[in-house]
Amino acid sequence: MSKKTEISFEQALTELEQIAENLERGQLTLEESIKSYERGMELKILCQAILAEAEGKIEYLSKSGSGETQKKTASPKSESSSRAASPPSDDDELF
Amino acid sequence: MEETKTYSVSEINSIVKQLLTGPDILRNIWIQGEISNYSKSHQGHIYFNLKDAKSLIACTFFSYSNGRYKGKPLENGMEIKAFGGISVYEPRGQYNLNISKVEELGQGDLLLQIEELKRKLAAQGVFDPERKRKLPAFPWRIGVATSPTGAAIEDIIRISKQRFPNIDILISPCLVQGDGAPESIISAINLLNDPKWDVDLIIAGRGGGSTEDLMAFNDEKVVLTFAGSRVPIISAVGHQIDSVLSDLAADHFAPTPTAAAEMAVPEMELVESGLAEFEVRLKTALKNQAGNLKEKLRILTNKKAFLDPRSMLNDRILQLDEINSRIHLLGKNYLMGAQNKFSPVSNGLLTSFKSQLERKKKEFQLLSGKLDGFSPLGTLKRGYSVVRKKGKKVVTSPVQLEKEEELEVILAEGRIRVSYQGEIQ
Repeated sequence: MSKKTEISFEQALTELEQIAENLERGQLTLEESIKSYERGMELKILCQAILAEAEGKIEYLSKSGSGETQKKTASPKSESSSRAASPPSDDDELF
Repeated sequence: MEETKTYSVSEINSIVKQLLTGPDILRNIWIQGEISNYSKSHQGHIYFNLKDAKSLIACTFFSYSNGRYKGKPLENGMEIKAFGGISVYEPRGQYNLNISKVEELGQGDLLLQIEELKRKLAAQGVFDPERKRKLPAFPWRIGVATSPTGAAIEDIIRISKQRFPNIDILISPCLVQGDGAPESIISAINLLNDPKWDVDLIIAGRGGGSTEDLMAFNDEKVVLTFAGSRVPIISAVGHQIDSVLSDLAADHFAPTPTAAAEMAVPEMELVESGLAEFEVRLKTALKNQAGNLKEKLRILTNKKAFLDPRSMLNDRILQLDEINSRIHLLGKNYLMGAQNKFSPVSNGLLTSFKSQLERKKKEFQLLSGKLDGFSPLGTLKRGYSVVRKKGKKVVTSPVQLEKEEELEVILAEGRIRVSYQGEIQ
């Protein structure tokens, strides 16, 4: 997804689409086609890496005692619980 | 006394039914009153009377209709507005109101207020379609402004994780109904708009409820907060009948929080298969190009010039020969034509030339015969010889010679070398 790398997932995907279209049009020289193919594969690997790097965290914003907003990780869902996640704790001021 | 027709009870009830259920006015009507004699069957059907100060009307609210009612639980003494049509239960000869929709009393005022605010904000351009932004196709982190304990957040998390397990979810908890809810919603949305949280899109909303329950999402300041969100925002307020104003102000809206998560989060499987598809496309395109080039090369190398260059040369030689022959033939034909054209003249010229030649030949023979008489060759044939020194000087006297000097003697049929020994006295 839009991981903040030198190129975002969206940009990589847009460029990949462009490369695929250019290659499919068949207007490039063989040398240009090979270069485009290599770039395309590079982008595909980059996209996969970005997807794999995502952490999938669930966090809550809450106010600390000093009134500053902070991020807190939600408690992981327990096997028996039907809840997807729980707020950090009752001590945190959520609203 | 006039005789009149006697009807059966069933006939009369049937006639009454036709009379009551026929007119449009009785098919879609709102009736306002107080609930009394409330009861609910095991099948989930609700029966009660609606009454005012003077009279009452029996009402049925079947389960297929009352399941959609999200307001306060109905009870005796509650003032409501019911929408439905008059129906007749013939076996008992009773007519009642078959209800399809119920609103708590006061909702009409609320709806009027909402409508008024809607007009005002629309005039300000708050709902203009051109203000709507596209949602990011691949959000890295979604912010959710909702109650941390409601079903909405659970639905959003569950659906988001189902679709894309690695997505980050940042929850900005807020109250979603009652006093203080508008300020709480505004604060939650504003927090998520802070760039430091790096949120790609926001889902703000709650599960379903009555018009009153959803009123926080019709609050003017809340609606303006939706409209002014820096980050693209989805309004996800669970409702089915009328939309709330936050829906109109947000970039996108979903009828439920679940639908909002489906709208916001791409499916990991689809993304991955899309990437795999790209690889296939790239490989196929390159393969096709290589194949095309290969084919071109094959066609080229199968050309005669490559397969049998000598035959190409031979062809050229034959062509050249043919051209030469044609030129020669053309020349010959031309000459013959010319000859034919000039033959009378040329024949005359040729005859006179031949006779002149004969004459000249004879003259020449005569003169060369005379010349032979003067030729030294003739003298030599008669036995004379010529003596020459080495320097080819002809010797005419012994005084010209040195002792032992080599001399050349030319005879009629050859030459000899001799040595001078001395003068003969």
